[in-house]
Amino acid sequence: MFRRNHAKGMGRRMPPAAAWLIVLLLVSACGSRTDGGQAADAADGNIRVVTTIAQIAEPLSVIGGDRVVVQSLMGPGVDPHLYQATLSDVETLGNADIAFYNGLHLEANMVRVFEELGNNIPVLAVAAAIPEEKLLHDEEGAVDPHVWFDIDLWKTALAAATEEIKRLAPQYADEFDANREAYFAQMDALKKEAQDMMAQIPENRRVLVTAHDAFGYFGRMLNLRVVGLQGLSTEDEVGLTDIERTIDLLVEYQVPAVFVESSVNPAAIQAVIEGAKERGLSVRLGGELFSDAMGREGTEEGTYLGMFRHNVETIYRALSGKDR
Amino acid sequence: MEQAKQTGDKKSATEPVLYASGVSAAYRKNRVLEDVSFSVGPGTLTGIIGPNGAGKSTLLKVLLDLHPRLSGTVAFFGTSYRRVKSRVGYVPQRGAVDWDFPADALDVVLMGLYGRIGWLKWPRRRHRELALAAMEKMGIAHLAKRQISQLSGGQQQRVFLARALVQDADLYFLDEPLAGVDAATEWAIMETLRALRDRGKTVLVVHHDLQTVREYFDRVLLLNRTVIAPRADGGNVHPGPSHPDLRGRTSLAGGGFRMIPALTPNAQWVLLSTLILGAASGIVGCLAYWKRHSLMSDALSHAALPGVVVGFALAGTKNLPIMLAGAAASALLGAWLVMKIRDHSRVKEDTAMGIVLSVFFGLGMMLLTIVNRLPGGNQAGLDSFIFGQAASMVRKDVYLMAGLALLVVIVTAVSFKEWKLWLFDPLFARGLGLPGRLMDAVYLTVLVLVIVIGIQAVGVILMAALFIIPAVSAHYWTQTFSRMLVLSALFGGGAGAAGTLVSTMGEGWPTGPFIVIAASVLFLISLGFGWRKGLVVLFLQRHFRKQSTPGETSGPTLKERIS
Repeated sequence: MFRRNHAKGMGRRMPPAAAWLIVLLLVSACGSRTDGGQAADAADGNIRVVTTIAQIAEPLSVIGGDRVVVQSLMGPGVDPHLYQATLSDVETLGNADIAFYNGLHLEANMVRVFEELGNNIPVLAVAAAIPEEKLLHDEEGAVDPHVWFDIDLWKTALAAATEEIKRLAPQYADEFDANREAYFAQMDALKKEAQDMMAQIPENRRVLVTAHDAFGYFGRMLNLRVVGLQGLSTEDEVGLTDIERTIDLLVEYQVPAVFVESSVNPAAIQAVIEGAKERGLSVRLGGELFSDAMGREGTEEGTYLGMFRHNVETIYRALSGKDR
Repeated sequence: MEQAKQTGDKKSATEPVLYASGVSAAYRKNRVLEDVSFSVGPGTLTGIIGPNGAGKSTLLKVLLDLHPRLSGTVAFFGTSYRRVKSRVGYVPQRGAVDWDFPADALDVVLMGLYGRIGWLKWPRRRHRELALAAMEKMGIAHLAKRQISQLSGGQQQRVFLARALVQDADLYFLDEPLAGVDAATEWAIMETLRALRDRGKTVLVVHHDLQTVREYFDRVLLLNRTVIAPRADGGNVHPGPSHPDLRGRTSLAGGGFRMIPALTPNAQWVLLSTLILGAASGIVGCLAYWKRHSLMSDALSHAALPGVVVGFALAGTKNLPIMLAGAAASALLGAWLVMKIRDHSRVKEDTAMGIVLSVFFGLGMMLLTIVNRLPGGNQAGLDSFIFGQAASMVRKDVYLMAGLALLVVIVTAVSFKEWKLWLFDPLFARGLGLPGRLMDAVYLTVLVLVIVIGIQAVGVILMAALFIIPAVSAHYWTQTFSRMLVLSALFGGGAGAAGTLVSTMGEGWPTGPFIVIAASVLFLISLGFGWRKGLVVLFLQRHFRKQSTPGETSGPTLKERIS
């Protein structure tokens, strides 16, 4: 409709430049479409699983083994709070046998897509399996959706997802259970390792300052005080008072480092560092943490366990001052 | 006055002052002039007459290189127009300029002297005296300080005539100088033109009234075309009689904000950055306002978005210089497209801007979506270019903004006189030899520079607001161009500072939106209480007029009798 109006408005004499622009639009629109159906084709008799964030997809691909083909819609550096479903996403979801999303309003712009999809295939919000009393809330009562940072909670969520896949392919149930047990053992080990490392940081320095409030569960599990500049979602604009409040806190606790997130604009954190310096506190940029998105696929940080370990080690290095 | 030069006969009287042969011209495919040939000798008063659409105005524009000539040759004083520009005076149609422009009558008459004053120099007292002498001749010396919007049609025409007189040219072109003027003005104008002729000057006048032709002119050039040009030249629309206003009075709003001593460094940076950026965009927005380009600044802000994303995609990282270069390139491309669409299709300029705005913004959003899905993972924060993150500005932003503002102030101050002419009467400006292309280029460069530096700090939407709102608000308070520039800068800077201060008062209040709100509040106050056509003032005026005697309610044309 948009294009038709244009053609009408310009009459017969469309300038070549404008015509080219429209052609360009069409071509690139077509181009972005081609990557849609590849997950479906690849799944040859296997269960096709589609998830929103990779934090669900990657563990499920381990648990599912050769029996499943898992695809996540959101790649590295993508912010799920702001993510809008494209046509090709809808197509990918349409070709799936089962779909998982986090829920708790993490994928704020995709709720309707999943409601529709639920009429055709099994769809599960994995975080819904977590008991209400274990969830964190902010001052206004909104639920913190970043549950994958509590390893125990994420085990609950992944177990629920595994049950759902088992229902789809009961013949492989034993295989899935075995894989899951092995994976959960790794998760437990990681939790132990993380707690040991954090315990070495002096208590007064255990303050984690990040761009947005993604690390509430992480902090609860590892006994860190957590401060986010932007609140639970990245949808709001950072206010001047947010920056000032954070600097006050840094000065009060003499925090040595703050962190940027791979999926959030680093500008506000830079402003915090400069503001703190102006007030006599030299704050380092501790490094980049993975919060809502994981690392590039095929790298260590592209796995759930690797991503988690990267965060723990980065925080440990920056706050303890050791192993620089 | 003592210095008034008599430059009557510079060359022998035998050669024609103006010679044209086989001149043709067209508006797109419609031929308006076909094979026009004539020559005019010195000391003559020639009328150019013909029905509407015959191409009278077009002929003048073609002769003066203001409109492309398809064929034919033209010679001024035996050479090309370009080499004798200073000897040729041009008086455009009264309706060709916006009389709402903040200037007084003396300002406009002074413009006739710009060629002699020299570019980038300020007019001196003797120039003022020359201008006043010319106004005296036209019987409007007492209106020298009168706002041009408050002049009647006849007075405006006399201002134009006075401006032509001070130019002291040897050859004058006047486009419909007698259209819509009262009888007294018509008589005064013809007296002036005859006096010019008697001093050996050559005068060509586009005229529409066949009754007076025989009486007024020595010779007549009759233009008629069988091919009817379908309203290509925009017709001869004259503005109705303008409203009398209260005398312009300027009050400087605000009066300095109380600096809160306990402002943190971050708040100071943001405050200073937005204040300086607001002032810079207020000034440039003022130029854009009179170029009728308010929407253009909006369109270009949006048109910068795809460039930002492409710049990021090319660099592979968030490399600010490359992204800004991309932003500038795509904003300029947008501006170029607007002009091309306007010139080569039936689409009007505002529609063209609308197209460019939506297409480029759509393209930007599309590229942003694609880039967001690229494996690479350092694209986070690109969307801040849309909504901005004013609160995260730091010291280097202050310096960047200060440098930008300095540049803007220098550019506008150094060529202030030229901007005024170029914005008020571009046709006359080109007749004087003002390099219009250069002005266009400088204007566009400054506009794009402010946009590009602004959007990386505060986002597309806030930038558009800072461009448009301060200039419009300032227009409600003053009738002087210099004051309007200053006021617009104050309003822009004030909105930036006020918005920032307000946003520090509440927990988590976003800075950018509050700046827009502060600007809007300034606009609403101006709309209501502005000295110049503010709603309250207009209401009081109407109220006052109802109470006064009927004789005093008469419009400016009746009041206007030369004494």
